[in-house]
Amino acid sequence: MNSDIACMSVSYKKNMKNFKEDFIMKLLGKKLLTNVLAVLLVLTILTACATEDTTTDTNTDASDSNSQTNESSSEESTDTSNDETKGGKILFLSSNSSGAVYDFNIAFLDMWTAELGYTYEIVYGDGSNDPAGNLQAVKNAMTNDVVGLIAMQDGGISNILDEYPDLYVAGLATDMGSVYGPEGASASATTNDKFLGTVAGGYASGVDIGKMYFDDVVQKGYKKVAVAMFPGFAYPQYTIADQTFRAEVEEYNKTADEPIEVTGEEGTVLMFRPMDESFFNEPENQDLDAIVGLCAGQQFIYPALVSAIGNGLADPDTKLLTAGFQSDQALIDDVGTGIVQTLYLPNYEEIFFPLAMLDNAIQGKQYPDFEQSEVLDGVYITISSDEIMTNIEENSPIPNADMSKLSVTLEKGKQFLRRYNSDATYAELKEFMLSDAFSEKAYE
Amino acid sequence: MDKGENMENIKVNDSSNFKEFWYNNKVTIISYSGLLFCIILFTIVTPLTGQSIWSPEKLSTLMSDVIVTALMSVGAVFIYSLGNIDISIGKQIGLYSTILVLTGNATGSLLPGILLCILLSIVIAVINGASGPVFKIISIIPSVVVMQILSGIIMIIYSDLGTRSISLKTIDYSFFKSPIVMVVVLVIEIIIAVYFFNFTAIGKYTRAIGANKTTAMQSGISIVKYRIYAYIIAGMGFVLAALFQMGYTGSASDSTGTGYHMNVMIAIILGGMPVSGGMRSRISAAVVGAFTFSILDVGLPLIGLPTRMTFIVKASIFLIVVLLTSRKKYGALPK
Repeated sequence: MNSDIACMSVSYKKNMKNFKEDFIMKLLGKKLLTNVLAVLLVLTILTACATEDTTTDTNTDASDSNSQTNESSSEESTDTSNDETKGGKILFLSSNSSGAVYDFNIAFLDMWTAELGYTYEIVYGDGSNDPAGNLQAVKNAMTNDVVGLIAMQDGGISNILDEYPDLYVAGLATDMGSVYGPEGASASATTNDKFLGTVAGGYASGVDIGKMYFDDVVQKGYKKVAVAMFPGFAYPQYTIADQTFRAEVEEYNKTADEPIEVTGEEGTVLMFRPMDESFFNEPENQDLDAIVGLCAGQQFIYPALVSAIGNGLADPDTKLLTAGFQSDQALIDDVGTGIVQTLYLPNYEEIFFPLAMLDNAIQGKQYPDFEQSEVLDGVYITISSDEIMTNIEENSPIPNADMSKLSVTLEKGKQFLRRYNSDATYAELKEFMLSDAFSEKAYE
Repeated sequence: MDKGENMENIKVNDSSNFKEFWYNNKVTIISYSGLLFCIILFTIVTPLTGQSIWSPEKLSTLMSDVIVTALMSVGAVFIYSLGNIDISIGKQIGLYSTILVLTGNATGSLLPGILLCILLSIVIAVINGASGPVFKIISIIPSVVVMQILSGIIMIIYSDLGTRSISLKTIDYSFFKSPIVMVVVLVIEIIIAVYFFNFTAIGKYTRAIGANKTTAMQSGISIVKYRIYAYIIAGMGFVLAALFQMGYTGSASDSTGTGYHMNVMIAIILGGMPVSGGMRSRISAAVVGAFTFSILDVGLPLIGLPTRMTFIVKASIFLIVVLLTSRKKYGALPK
């Protein structure tokens, strides 16, 4: 009996052991299979990406959408370009990763790089413009075919130039304060012959910005105005603009029958966060005629103002004069007739400047009259009426990156590229960049 | 017992030994395999696109990408082994970098700045390390408070300066950009950290606290004292990291260090170390994790992957590693 029980016990243990081993092996097998599949998945992604020409698809789209423009220029490009044309990759250090300006830049680069024989790669700059972050972003994206860099951020520009002495660099929509500002961290870039200058997103000088808003306020007859702005340490020109605006108002009030009141000693600083509705609880901000927004006001002021009007905190007639552009239809409809009375929008097409400067430099055909880099003012698209807004919507590439609506067409742009026009000069390019080709008049 | 049964026992024992080895070292093996996989992949694939991960330029880029994260992470292992997370790491790096530039420009030497940073790091370590057990609050709370205070200080400094970034004017910082210097400093830091972590009471007790605080306390370990020691050692790593962060561009900005605490967390988890700390904590996790993440940063663009895609691929790989290394035996929540 005992021996039977012992046998049964041994048999049971053996069965259990076999069962456990089978179970573990199945489990291990499943895990192993899962792991192998995961690795295969990653490998597939990587190899697929490795063989993909990242610019081809987008270029095709752009070419399709602009077939007329491209076709009309292709003959010219064949005739005038020579066999020694250099290609390569242009890095685009972007300060944003979505939105109207991002879509526009991609479409523009798709079209122009295809036409000129380059490829391009978007590199995302440090979210806060940190020099080390920007440098590392460029370093990580650097391959041996990179020939130029368009930078929308100035942090670490001198370090990038030091790291890559043969790389041509030009700025876009930035006044490059760290390069051209007093005691700027990248001041050494000004004398670097690989640095080709920049075009600011609107006026580079805070004085000009301040005067522009003052003129607008006087023209519209506002008598009580508040100023809200991005912090001065990030945008020193806005501090100057605020001071200039107040100085101009003070001067104006000396002879004015009805003086203008500017609330506060200095502009309300928005720390990269939308304005708080409590702004309108301040006694001095009651019954405002307008707010001057030295920032992307549609994004940072408009929502609070709308809400405050809705809650009865702000006067329903309070208006907003500001910069920037949001492609949301409700905001577009408001501009010129609703709360936003004037919208100053740096023209996205100014990306032509860095592209032209890079192309001439890469092809070894620099303008004969180009001596040293500088910061150019950008031309504003001033949207102050429903009619202008409609023109921008219907005739410009700003809201939807439609390259067939470009003001700076391929034909027009090629006049400033020395590979096509050996007589082109830097003075002409500057004149062009400041012309109405970049203002709202270009889209009438 | 016949010969057949002996052979069967030996097989069962071999199988058990393998299973035991796999069970004990699974996380380490997977983490190391991840790094090895990346190295092999980029070694094979990058030449197909006319690039090389092994070119001096790319190795230099790799070192500059990894050095700050690795230096921080090696120090942070002491904090993570306690089962704690320090949110203030990034802002510490930001403040130290700023101090190094300001004092460097004021005195013409980096030494006063380094000493000041060490002093500050000790103060912060005491606050972060002691306030949790002393005030009976969750250990992450003091680091959140410290982070906010440091953010405020940094903002005041740059607002007063009227700029977003400052740079060294007279001091030559090229020393810190040398990949060889980076390697040497990292190796020295690792050796020192391994010594403290594995061969002194500080390392053993911090791991014991992370494994089970109550048991550690009942065994006579002073929780407050060893927490402070751990934070101080980590702080030294942060100062060292700040030195290389500043030395990379010779500058600092109001955003320097932003989000670095996440980089540290990713590196440590990717290296296979449990976030809960304890006896399975190890220095190598920080190094392996930091290198794995950086080699993806450098290698993926070389094989033609658009920059905007690298985030997704990195996140996918991170997810896979976490699923393989940090899952509970029963259930899906991370350890």
